[in-house]
Amino acid sequence: MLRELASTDLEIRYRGGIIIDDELCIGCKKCYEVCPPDVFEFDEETKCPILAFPDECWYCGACIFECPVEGALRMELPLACL
Amino acid sequence: MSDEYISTDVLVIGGGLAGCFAAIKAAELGAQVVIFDKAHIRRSGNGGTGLHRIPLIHPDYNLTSREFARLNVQGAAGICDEDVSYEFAQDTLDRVLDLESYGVPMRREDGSFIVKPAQDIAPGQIAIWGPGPTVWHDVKPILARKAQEAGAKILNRTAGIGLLTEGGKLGGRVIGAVGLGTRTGEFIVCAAKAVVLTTGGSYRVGRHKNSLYAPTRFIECGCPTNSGDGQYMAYRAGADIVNLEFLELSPSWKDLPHWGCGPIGVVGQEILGTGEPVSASHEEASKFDRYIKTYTFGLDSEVLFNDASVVPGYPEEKGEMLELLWAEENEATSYAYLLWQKERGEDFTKGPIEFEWHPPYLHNNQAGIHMNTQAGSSLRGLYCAGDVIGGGWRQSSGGAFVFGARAGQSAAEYALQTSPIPINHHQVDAEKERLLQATDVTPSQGYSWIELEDKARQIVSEYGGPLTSNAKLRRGLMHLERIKTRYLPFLYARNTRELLRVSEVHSTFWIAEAHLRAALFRQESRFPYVSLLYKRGCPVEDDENWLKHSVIRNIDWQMTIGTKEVKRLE
Repeated sequence: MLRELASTDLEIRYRGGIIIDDELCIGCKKCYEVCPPDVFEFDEETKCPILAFPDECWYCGACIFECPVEGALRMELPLACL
Repeated sequence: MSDEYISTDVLVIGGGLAGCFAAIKAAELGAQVVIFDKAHIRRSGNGGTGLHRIPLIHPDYNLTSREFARLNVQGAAGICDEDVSYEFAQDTLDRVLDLESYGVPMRREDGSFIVKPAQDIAPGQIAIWGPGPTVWHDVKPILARKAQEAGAKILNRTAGIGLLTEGGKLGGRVIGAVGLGTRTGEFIVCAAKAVVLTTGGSYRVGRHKNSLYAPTRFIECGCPTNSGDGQYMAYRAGADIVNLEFLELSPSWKDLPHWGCGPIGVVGQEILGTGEPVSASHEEASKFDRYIKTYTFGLDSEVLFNDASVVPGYPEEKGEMLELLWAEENEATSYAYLLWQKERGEDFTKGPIEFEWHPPYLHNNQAGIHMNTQAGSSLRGLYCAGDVIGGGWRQSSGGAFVFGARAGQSAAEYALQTSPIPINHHQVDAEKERLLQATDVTPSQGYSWIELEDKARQIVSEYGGPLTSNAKLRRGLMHLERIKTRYLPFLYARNTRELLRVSEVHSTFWIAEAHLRAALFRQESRFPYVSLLYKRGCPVEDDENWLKHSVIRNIDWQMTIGTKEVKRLE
């Protein structure tokens, strides 16, 4: 069991940021265009944004205001703020 | 990569609320206008996701511009120019009407405005609120479209990094600026007959308690792209920068350093966990007590709440005020606030809300580039407005509109009667080199922008205002100097994005130093409404010697400090 645990991905992932629903996203790039601290990258192959710099998110919600598809972007606050 | 050269009559650096107004008004006077926006103009700056109210003077409230200016001076504990406050009051309503003409809804169905006290902004302030259950989420898209229609050329993802002066000389006329394409890495050199700086304040000054916790690094009270770049650029060009000792403090939601727009300050009274009020009245709370008691209690010995069941000064407003605030908070300008509220079950209509003080930042219009009534700086060809300015007082979005418009008008008038001056290429190269040296440093030899920014902010929080002493400030300056000399030159940038952050860290270090020096210089404690400086062992509000602006100037590349008289109406 311990050996099994040790072999898994050891990178610690903090929760928080903008969660992107690739199924709902229509690839309009609006979030990528407007984000003030520029936290997204846009994957031209999948035609979806990637939250590339979650540490620099201001949690202002500009991306959500601009997103034309209800539910394609969702904000999750880091635990420290909750 | 080759640089792009452009020229224009008026260059506006920063496309937020003030920058959009400057661009619109300058273009309407027939000037060619270029806007640099570090982000994207649709959602950039503090107004990016909306406004919930705009401070103004309204005839219904029977407050004259002169009375307003006097209240403003009181709120600023004397450290502001009364003529600027007066001019602000004179123009606010006209700018709100401008907004209405651009398409921002302003009235109830019966044609009336919703005007209410807004005492969290400053004592005596009133503000206009949105006409319905929503905040103005789309002010920025509307202003951006208007600026574009007026003919402004908008360069998004372009950060201003340095001003250009006549002959490349310190204190010379400002004749353009160098920008960095934040996604391309390309430098844009813009020759301009006049430059308007509207880059905002800085929210990356004090150090938040969660700062080592990566996902909260950029959760600041205001927009984290605002990092004091304008103040630092103006300083390097030779402009007067005033009152950096007075940083603004924000009481806000516990653990969420987004602005506490809403109940806190507007209607609330601070109470301790025991239920005991911190101050007897809002009037008293506007001074020393509010800060010293809540700041230290909040940090050390007691939980703090804000109780909105009392509405000091205007009980008759309570019903509609609470309704408005509740509507506002359900549709907050801060999306994160809605999540916070839901998670914690906090509801200020039902009981006190837990709050805390968040770290100091630069936003109060008192600390910044010294601006006159026509939105001019101390340099020829350089205008400024919005949160970048100093010497005024708590103008908030209203000031961005009033002085943004004046900056655009003044810059256009100046530009249209002057000839362009050739730029100095040595100065352009020096500005580029200042950043590009970070690309020669490898991560194994150097330090990331994150580490250095965190260190500068740690020093400000540990040694600077609001609660400090001469000994503490000297110690802070010693540490800052050590870090600046030994480590700052080894900032590394592996890509364009990091190059932008490196540029921002330079601004943060400058603000840290300017703040510590200005605070050390002022030999008194003084308590403006939202930005006190308490210095242990110094006299309190020594008007005879210190009813003055402190002023920081770049003299032969030495940070020198002196005083300037505060202006009063006749």
